[in-house]
Amino acid sequence: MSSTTARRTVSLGGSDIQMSALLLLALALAISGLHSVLEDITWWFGAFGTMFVVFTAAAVARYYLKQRWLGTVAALVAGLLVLTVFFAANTAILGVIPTGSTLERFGSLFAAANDSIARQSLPAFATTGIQFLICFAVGGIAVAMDAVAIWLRAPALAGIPLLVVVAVPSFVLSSLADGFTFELTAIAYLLIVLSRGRRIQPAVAVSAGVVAVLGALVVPAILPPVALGGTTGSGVGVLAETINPIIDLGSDLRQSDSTAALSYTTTSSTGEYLRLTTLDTFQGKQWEPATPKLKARNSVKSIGAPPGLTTAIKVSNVSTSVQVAEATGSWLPIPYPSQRISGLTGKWSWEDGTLSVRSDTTSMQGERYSVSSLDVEPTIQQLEAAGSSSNNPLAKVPAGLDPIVAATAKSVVAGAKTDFDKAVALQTWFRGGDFTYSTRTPATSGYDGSGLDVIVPFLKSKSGYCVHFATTMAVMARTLGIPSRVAVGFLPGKLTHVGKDKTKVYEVSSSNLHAWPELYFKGIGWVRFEPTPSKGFEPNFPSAPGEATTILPTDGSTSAATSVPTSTPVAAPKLPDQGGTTQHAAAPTSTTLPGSSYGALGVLAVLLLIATPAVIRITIRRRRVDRIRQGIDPAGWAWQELRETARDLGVDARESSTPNELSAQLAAYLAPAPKRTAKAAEALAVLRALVEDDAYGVPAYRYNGEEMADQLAIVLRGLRRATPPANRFAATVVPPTLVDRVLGRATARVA
Amino acid sequence: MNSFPAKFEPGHAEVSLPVADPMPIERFLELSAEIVSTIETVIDGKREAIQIALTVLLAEGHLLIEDVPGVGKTMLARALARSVDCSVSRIQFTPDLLPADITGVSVFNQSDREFEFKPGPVFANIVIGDEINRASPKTQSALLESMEERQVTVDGKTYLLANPFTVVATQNPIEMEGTYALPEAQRDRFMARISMGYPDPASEIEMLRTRATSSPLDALKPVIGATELRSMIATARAVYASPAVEQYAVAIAQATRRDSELRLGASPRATLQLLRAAKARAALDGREFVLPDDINALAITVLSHRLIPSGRVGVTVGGYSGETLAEIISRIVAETPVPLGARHGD
Repeated sequence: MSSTTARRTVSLGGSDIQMSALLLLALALAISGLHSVLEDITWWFGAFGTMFVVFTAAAVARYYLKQRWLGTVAALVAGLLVLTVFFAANTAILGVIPTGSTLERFGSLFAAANDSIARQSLPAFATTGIQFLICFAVGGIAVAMDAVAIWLRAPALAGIPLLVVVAVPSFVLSSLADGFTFELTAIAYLLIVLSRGRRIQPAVAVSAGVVAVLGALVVPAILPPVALGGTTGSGVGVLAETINPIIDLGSDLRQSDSTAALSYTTTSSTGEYLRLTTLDTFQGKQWEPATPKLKARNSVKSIGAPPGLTTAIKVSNVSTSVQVAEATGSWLPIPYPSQRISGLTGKWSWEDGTLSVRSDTTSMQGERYSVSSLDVEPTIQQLEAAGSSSNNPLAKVPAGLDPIVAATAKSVVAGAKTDFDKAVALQTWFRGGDFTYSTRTPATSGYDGSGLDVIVPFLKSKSGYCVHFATTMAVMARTLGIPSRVAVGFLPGKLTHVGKDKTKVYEVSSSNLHAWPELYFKGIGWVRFEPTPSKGFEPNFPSAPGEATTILPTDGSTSAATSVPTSTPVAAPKLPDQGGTTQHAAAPTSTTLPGSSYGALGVLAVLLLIATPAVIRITIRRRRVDRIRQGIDPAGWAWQELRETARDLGVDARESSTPNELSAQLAAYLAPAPKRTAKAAEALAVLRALVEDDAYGVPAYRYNGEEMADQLAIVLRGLRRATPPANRFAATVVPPTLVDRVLGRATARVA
Repeated sequence: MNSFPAKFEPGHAEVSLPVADPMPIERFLELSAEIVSTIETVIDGKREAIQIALTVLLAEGHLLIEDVPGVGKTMLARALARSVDCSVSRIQFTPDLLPADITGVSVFNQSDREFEFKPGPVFANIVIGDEINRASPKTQSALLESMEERQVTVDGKTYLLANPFTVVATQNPIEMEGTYALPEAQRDRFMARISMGYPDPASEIEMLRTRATSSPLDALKPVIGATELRSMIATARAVYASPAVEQYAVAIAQATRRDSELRLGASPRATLQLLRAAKARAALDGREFVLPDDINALAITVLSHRLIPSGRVGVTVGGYSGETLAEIISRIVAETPVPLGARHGD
């Protein structure tokens, strides 16, 4: 044994430093694979700095302290210090020593990182939070690699943390993001494994490689998407968590994998815009939903009359049955204006003014209900004739609005005479082709929100998503004296089925979350507009009662020619109308870090974690068998492996047992299944004789490593066969000898 | 009983021959099996005790047989002596026995007109000391010192004892009055201590039958002579003990010294004798090398009479409490890791 010690002492110098360098190379390569999900490359230098400090600290500590484990401890300390210096220097003593407030800072950076990840689409901008997250992860992984490769002498296992790093982009994009980086990392990993010279374990290397490829390519594909449950607070459920639903609309839209939110059957000739709530007031610079106190008498069985609607306007009744699937929230998705709702199980009431239906006690998830609503069909003439409502409180321009907004509005509507013409002009301007729909640009350009501040950057870049179009049009309408508000709800969704009685079934997913402006016209009430290009459909108004039919396309495939009088401003250019049905995931620009990928990543991480002890145990066994075959103390290693396998399988195999005693014990263990273990019992006797002869016999040169290894393999197989499957599984997943090792109850041989 | 040489030359033991050559292991096994079966004809159902007695004989140690009267202590000693054709003497220890009664005296020879050494009973290959605890400590010491040094000094002259030389002493543990229990230092000189124990019913019935007509001891024929015994001893001595086994013996001895339940641990002599006995046992098992199992099997027999428990461990009978000490040793053995294959590392 002392020669082992000597070998260790000797190798403490050069080879460990070499190994540290290889680990650094591999991790630096692996982390660069993240370039496919992150913008620019500054984050890489931060990550490299972190890992460089960690590995260097480990190498230096080992060089001077001559203890492997001290190197890993040094790496851990160095990692903590470098994170402090990089991200929380002002909270630390002398800028280095972390304090309590440093940890608080770390906590807030974590939160910021999560927030950034949730809000941004790909490639994401590496905010400070994300950079911290990367450095933190890299530091932890570097320490882990150092521990397994140098401290525990199992460099092959360094592939596991590497695999996790390499797998991240694959998870996000569900495909191998960067094969080149992957290959470079794999080469670096092979160097790590090869650098152990004769201790290469090809089987381990190959299996680790297979696991890596499986992890990176197959697992994300085969794992089912994690359903957005009502209680998870993710996806559509965000609406339940926040008071203001518009805040998280952007991130909800960026969910690359949409979930079924609800489905409905309607008698309407078109799909229904299902409204959750309306935002009509300002809290500072932010749109706020009107949330009046719910009155018990506002029963959904009889909802109040829609404000402003007079009997002169033609209305028709529409019946809609809604079944809510995964969507959660305290507002009920209903068409506007609704008159009656039946079938609800929870306690719901309608809000005065907005007619939104809300519950303070329950969520919409799982509700099934029928809504009776009105289809308000004013003619263009009636709209044109509507008088000014500029004295309405909802026509008040919010304070602090950049005058450029009003100026822009004025120039857009130049020439339009009536409020309606102005509104249509605004809508046409937004949908006309100058503006593009993108959930990504606002996030990367820093105006990912719904307040007043986002209007000017949005008008400049002409790129944004429904929130930007809706709020901007609403604010611009107010500058023109038209009362406006923003509705939040769902697009009509995808037509899936047409029944015999002409009822249509639509499915609405989380990607159909939408916001749109509503403008008020005297005598008619609130009228929906659709400024967002490629989403939903514009409201269409017949030029005179009975003159025009309302044939409105609901999606691209069913789109029919729409007859609209060309002489009126209503004849806005029609854009391909696909928004209601297009899944966001189809648009490459809207790919984001999906919640389910985190779930899959978590599952893989857990699987790897579960597999780790087994892999370590197998590595240890292979190393021993290699030594036995090489004739390095074959008796000692063979017997130790036999004893530890027996212990793993639940045999009380003690170190204080002589080979004779242990083999008697194991023979008794094999005895109950004589048929399957006959060979093992024979091999056990042979192995014992070989071991005794080698360990205690008269010294003479004789090589019997091969024979010993072969017999050992037979005995181990027999022992496993004699073990009940459950115990065998437990022994594989949590080998007791490994637990002992980790807990310091070393089963080291007596030297 | 074998006769003692009539005339004894001063300073010259009868058997101070050069070390004998080992014999082939097959012959060794054959002879040892014969000895055991011969002794078994007089001691029924005590194979284990016989095995240990033979082991001690072959390991050149001394044996202490301790048990209540009438279970065949003396019979075992005599049978063992009888099976080997060599000089045997028997000393019945009594309180008035003097050292000279053991070692021998110089008497004035009237005809030669000079002092002549009359060797005592200790000058024999196998010396049976019956009820050794009945003699005074002074007399005990005379025997025990000669056991260790394998020589006797009388009137300034040193006389070597026989080779091989084995003392088989018996002791009665329950008879307290008028006895002098062996002090620890002297117990240490015995390689092993065994108890006979009562025979099982079948053996006891068998014994009644065989003893009905005559003493079976008389029918006992020697299996080997002194020369062959020396050769067998040489064979046992030639058994290989690997460093791992040595480590193991030392580890057990060390553990007895550290154990909190023991006031006195095993002496280095104990370790030496443990290994020597293990070699003899290995040879009797037909092996050329010692296994840790040999050490385990002999640990209680070889160590228990040397250890002194601390505090109130068990009831002390005759100065030690065998059963409890056996438990302590079993525990120590069970806790001591067995070294394996250390040879390659060293």
